[in-house]
Amino acid sequence: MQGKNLQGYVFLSPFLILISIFYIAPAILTIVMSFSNLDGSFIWEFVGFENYGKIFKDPNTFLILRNTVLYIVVSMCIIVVLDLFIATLTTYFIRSDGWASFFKSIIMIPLITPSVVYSVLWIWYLDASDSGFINNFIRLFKNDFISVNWIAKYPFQVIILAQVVVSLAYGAIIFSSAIRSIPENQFKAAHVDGASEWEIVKTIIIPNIQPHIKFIIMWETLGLMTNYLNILLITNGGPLNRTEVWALSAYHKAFIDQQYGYGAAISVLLILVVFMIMLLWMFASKTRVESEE
Amino acid sequence: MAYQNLTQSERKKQTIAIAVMFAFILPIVFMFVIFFSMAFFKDGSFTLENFSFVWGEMKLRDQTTIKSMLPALKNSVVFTFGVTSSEVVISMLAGYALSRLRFVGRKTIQTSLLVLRMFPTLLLLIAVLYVLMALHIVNTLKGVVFVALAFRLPGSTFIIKNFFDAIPRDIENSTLVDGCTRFSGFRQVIIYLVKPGIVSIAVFSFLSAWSNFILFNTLLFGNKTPVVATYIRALTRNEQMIAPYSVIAAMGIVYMIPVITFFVITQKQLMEGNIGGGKGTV
Repeated sequence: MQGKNLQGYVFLSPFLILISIFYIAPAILTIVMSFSNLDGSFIWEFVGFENYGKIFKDPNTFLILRNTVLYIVVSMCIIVVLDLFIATLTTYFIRSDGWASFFKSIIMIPLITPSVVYSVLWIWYLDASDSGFINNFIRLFKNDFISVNWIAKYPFQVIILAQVVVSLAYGAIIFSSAIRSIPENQFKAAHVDGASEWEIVKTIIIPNIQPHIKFIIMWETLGLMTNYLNILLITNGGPLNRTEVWALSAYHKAFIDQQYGYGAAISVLLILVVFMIMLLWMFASKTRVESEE
Repeated sequence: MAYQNLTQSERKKQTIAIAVMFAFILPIVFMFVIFFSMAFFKDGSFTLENFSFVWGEMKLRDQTTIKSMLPALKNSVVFTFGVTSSEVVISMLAGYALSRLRFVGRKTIQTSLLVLRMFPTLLLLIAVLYVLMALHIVNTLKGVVFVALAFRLPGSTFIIKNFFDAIPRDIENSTLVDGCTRFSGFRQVIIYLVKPGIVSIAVFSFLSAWSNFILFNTLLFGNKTPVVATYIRALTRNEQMIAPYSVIAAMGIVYMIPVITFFVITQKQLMEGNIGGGKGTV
C-alpha cells in the first residue's frame, strides 16, 4: 500500500507543487492580506476588520454594487435567451449540418479573438472621431448627423453588448448539443398532434434541456461576476465609475491605488458570494456536476 | 436523428431559419470584415505598408515611432509554447493518477479539482504578485508561465481525467500482464487512447496562452518583457489611440493568424462542447 501511495504522488507531484505555490497559497494569502493595510511599501501591519469597514463606508460602494447586479442580470438574461434562439434555429430548424456548423463557427469568432483586439474593435465601431464606424454609417443616410461619442454616452449598454457577443458561443454550443440528443419521435408525435412550432419549443425543447439551461445560468453568472477583462479594456470602469463593477474595483484598488489590503478585502467578499453560488449549485443539481458537460 | 428526408414545410422552415441566422450574424461579420480590411488600405489604395511594424520600426504621420513587434512576438511564442507543452504533460500525469491509481487523499484531490476549476482566479492576482516577489521571480516571463499553468491545470486535468475514465480497465491490465510497468504502459499504450483529449486541452491551452492579457498586464511591468497583447495594448489606451486604426488592424491580423489557423484545423474539437476549461479561466 505504501508503494501505491508513492506511485500516485509521483505522478501528481508537478501538479500539486504548482497548484499549491501559485494557486492555493495566493488564495490563503488573499484572506490574510484582507486583514492588513499592505500597500506599495510591502510592510505587513494587521488592522483587523478595518478594510471591511472601509468598504461599507465608501460612498461608491452602493453604485458599484448596483452596477454589478444590473450588469450580471441584464447580460445573463440576454445571453440565455439568445443562446436558446441560436441553438433552436441551428439545430431544430436548420437540419443541414453544413449550414449549422457554418453559423456556429461565425458565432465563435468573437470568443477566439484576443480581448486586446476585440476591445479595439468596439472602440473603433463606436468612436466619435471621423474614423468611427457607426457615426460614418449613419452619416451615409443623414448628411447633417453630428457624431456621437457612443461609449461616453451609453457606456453601460456598450459593455453589456460587447460581453453578450463574446459569451454567445459557449451556451449556444452546449444547448445545441443538448437539443440534438432529444429523441426525434417526440417532435414527430407533436407534429402529428398538430402542435405549432412555438408549442414545440415551449413544451419539448425547453423542458428537455432544462438542466443545461440551469448550468449555463450558473456558469455565466460566475463568469460575469468575476471576469472584468472586457470592461477594463473598453471603458476601464468609466466615465465617472458608471461601468465600475465589483471585481474591477478590486483590481483598481490594488493595482492602480496600490492598496493591496483593501483590494484583497473586496476580492474576499466576492469570493464568498462565488462560493455560495457554487454550493447552491452543487446542492441543487442532484446529478453530478461532471455530467452536465 | 436523420436529417435527409425533409418535407416541403420543413424545407421552407429551414430556409427561413437560415435567413434569420444570416440577419443575426451579419452585424458581427460586418464589424470584423470592415475592421480588418482597413489594414490593407492607406489613403484609399491597396498597400502592405501598414504591416511594416513586423520587421522594423515604423514612423507614423505625427512623427511618433512604433517599435518593431519582433521581440514581443518572440516572447509570446516562448510563453505559449512553454505553457501549452507543460500543461499537456502535467495534466496528463495528474489526470491519469486521479483516474487510475489508488492512493490516500485521492477523493479529496478530486473534489477540490471541481472547486478549483470554477474558482475566480482573476481575484487572486494581488496575492500572486506577492508570492512572485517572495520567490524573486517577479517581472519575469518564467513567473507568469508558472502562474498561468497553475490557474489552468485544474481545468485541463479535469478534462483529461474524464478521457482516462472512459478507457476500459482491461486494456490497461493487459499492458501490465504483458510486462509493462505503470509508467511504460502509460507511455506506450494509454497515451494513444486519449489522443482526442490531448488535442482538446492543447487547443484550449494554446488559445488562452496566446491571447492572455491580464496576467502580463498585472505581473509584468516596466515594459521589460513585452508580449503581443501588451504591445498592442500600449498603442490603444482607452482614452486615445496612439496608432491609426489601419495599423492596429494590421497588428490584429498578425496576432490572429495562429489563432485562426488553429481554429480552422481543430474546429471539430471546439464544437464538441468541451469548452469548459477554456472560458472564464485565465
